[in-house]
Amino acid sequence: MSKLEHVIYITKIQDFKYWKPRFKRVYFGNEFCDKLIPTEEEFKKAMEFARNKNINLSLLTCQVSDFSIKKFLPLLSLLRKRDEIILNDWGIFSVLKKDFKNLLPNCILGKFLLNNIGVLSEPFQKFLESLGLSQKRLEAEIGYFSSVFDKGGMIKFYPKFKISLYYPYYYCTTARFCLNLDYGEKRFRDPRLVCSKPCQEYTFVADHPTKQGEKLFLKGKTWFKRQDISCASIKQIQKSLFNLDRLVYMPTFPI
Amino acid sequence: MKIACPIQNLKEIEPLAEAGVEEFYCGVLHSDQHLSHRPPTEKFNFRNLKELEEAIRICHSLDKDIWLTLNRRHRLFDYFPFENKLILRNSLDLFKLSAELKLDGVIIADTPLLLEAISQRPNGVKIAVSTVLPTLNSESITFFKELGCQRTILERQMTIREIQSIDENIKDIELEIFFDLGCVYMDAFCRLEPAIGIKHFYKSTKSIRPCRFPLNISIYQSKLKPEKGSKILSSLKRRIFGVPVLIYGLSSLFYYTKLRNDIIFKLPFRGFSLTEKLLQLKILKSTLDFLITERKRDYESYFDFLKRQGLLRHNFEDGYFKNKLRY
Repeated sequence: MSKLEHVIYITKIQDFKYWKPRFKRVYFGNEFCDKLIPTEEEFKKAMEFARNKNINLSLLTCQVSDFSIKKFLPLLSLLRKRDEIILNDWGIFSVLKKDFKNLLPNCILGKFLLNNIGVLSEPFQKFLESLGLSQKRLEAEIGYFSSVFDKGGMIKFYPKFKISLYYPYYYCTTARFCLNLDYGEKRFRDPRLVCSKPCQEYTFVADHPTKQGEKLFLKGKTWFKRQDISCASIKQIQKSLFNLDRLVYMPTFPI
Repeated sequence: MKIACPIQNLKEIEPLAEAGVEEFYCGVLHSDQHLSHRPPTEKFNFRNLKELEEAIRICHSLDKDIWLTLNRRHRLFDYFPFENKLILRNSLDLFKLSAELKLDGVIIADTPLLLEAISQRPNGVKIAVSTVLPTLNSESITFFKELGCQRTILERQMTIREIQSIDENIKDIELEIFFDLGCVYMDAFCRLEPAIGIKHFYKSTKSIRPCRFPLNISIYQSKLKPEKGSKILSSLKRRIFGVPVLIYGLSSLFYYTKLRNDIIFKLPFRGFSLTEKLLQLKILKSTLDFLITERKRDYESYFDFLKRQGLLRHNFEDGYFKNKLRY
């Protein structure tokens, strides 16, 4: 059983209040909305926090357009050698390859690039190595397999890779257009305009259509479900997933 | 500008070609595997390779291109590794047949499959990046172009500005845009089916999608006053699952005709009847003809044209359309 690294998943600076000493790494950024990419100021604060607490930092990236990809450039120039990047867009990888080659070994394919079946095949791994990437880790959300107690689902079939397990929220579906905005609004259509971030003001909940008691949550443009796991469950999960070495805890909705 | 249309049976090809379609795309049932991004039934695919071969022959006799979709969206942890390998192998086998079958191109969504296909590509077969492997920016399109793809099918939920930016920045790669749209959620990343636990049921003409189930939505957390919150909630309820976004469609054509000349408009009506396809095609063609031939192509004249044709069916589209064109 690998030693477990506890990680906290933070999307806003004010959420650093949830940090506890057991968290040795912070995942900072946003995977679901390019309008919520942290500013340079916010990222500097996050880095300062990580430095003061002597913990590692991983920058979360999201799907980006031509307008929002530029927001990552100042953040990438601030990253240190030991910081990681969770890649969710090939465009960001392309930028790294051109201007930030030294950061390539620290890249990990995120959940949105892992929706390919052959991504763990040997030819693809060799291809990634030829690009300067080495995929040693799989980012898995708790909802990816029906039951973590059920012999670890499919993840156990990938012993060469370390596993990061995100909990308790996992996404069901996501959009590019924010469902909180009215279509008639200009900010809905113009990617250059600053979003007022209505997603930070409210969260919606819906009852599961068939399973009583289960809920679906809508935050911004993404629907989530929630699956809590207790400390006892974590030990049981580790027994099932021997290559699990990172637990990524989301104290709030990851938006 | 070309129009690409889906086909699933041989009788459709000639009427659609006559109606103005310049390119076709299709799926095929092969090796009992689900290889394209539509249900593996005869409603959406050719029944076997023989039918596909015949379709290719007919298309080429009419001087039209035909593309094959191998763009099944996969989720890594939903399959055992041996299943993954089998799907990859079967997709690759079908791809290798594409040269023998004389296909004009193949649409792929899986990055590793894309790499294998590029390395083994038979002469004359183009490769397109599917909308299900979304390329939302010029950098990612350049990445796939450098790998060897000749075409990219843009994600359905891109804004006009984003598409215009890609059109300006990217040359030497064909762009394909979907005309009309059914769902606000990103095709490539939708995990609603496993999350809700209801499988997309499809048999003959019946289709039950998990996202079409009505949901009882309420506010869970709010920093707003209750009256504002309920106003937002009622506005939200109009645009949840299954509500079409209408980002594409007629309101966007005004801008798309200002893009490069060789843009390809893709009709998304796989599984629709021939009558429905011909109707949509007629609307698209007449609107495109108006936009291309009319010299004074401004908001007012386009809006009037659509009104005269009776194409502004919904108040929603009307209001949205007006706002969109002003911007």
